[in-house]
Amino acid sequence: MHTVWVRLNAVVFFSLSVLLTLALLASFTAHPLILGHNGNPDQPLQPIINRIKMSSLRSLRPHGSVDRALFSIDLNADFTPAFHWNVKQVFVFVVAEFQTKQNRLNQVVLWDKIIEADDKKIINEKNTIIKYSLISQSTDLRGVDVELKVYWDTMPITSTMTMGVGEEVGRFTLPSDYVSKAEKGKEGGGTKRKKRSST
Amino acid sequence: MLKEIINKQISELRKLWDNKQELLFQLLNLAMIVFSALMIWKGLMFLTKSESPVVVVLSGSMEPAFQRGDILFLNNQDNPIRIGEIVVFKIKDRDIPIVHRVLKVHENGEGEVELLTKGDNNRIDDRSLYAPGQLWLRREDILGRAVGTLRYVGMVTIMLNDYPMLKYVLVGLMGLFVLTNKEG
Repeated sequence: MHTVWVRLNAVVFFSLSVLLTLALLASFTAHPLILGHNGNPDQPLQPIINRIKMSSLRSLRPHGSVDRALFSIDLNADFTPAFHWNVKQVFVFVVAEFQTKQNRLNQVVLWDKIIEADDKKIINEKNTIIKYSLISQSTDLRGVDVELKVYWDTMPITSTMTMGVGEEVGRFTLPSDYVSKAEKGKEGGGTKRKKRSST
Repeated sequence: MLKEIINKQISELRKLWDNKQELLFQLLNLAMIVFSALMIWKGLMFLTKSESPVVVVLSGSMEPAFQRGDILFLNNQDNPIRIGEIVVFKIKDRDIPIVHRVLKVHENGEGEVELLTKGDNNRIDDRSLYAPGQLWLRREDILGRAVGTLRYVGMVTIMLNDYPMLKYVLVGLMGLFVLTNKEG
């Protein structure tokens, strides 16, 4: 009578369960304990963050009711170890974390990059201007201590997403007065962490 | 072939109508399927504390991470939203929730949090998507954070959304087959 439908139903249901089981197995194989360290026990599964720091300040200015800082950063990292067969992409982003009088925690993304499985996995940015400027919620950025951290979000083909943050932290203090333009010459080298000048 | 099936279905329905006991049994069967689905959904809502534990990605603004038709599993536990997390949020007076990444977090002394989001594939942040005059998202605007995805499964939902008639046809057909299916 309805054997066609009964069979179709059974086939669909069975293939769905097979797919689900395969997906679960796939996500298990991506686990560090099973995947191992690509055969090399010394190789970490996490990316290697060699350097993250503020290299030169371009400006620190009030914009209406908020303060806005623009600067460039150095970032050197190797994301090769973060990839295995079940990784579709890694989303890398540099975050500025700081405290202000108004807020006990501020986290602002300054720079980001999508690394897909086929892309070059070594990042070497030198004196690169940040993509999104550092904006506070009020005019309170002068003299603020900022920590730069590198985060990554690993997106698998089939599994759950995992996020990580590098131990390497770039610390610097914003100047205690507004800076309208970077003074060329003095900015070179980028070894000076703290810069003072007035408008 | 099609006519044959339709005729069979009609004769089955007639037989059912004559046999009230059988009809009742099949109706109960149908109700059980509907209620199990509802229970699973409500159970997920309870576990994830999210009013919508599974959502379908409708736009390409998060490519290549998510594509149109992927489904996302959400979790809305109380722990605070932090930078870089992919959240699903709803804007007042808009039906469709949006899936984007948190670009800015500002948390004041009382623990109240203000968030700004952006799609990975978009050039600018989401202020233009928010309600007029709205600068920040608050915790209550967030339906949940994305924890996992399944590819393609949501394509069915997108089709149902694009062609509403399909919905009624499918549901009607399924109901009919459950009713007339003897092995059910």
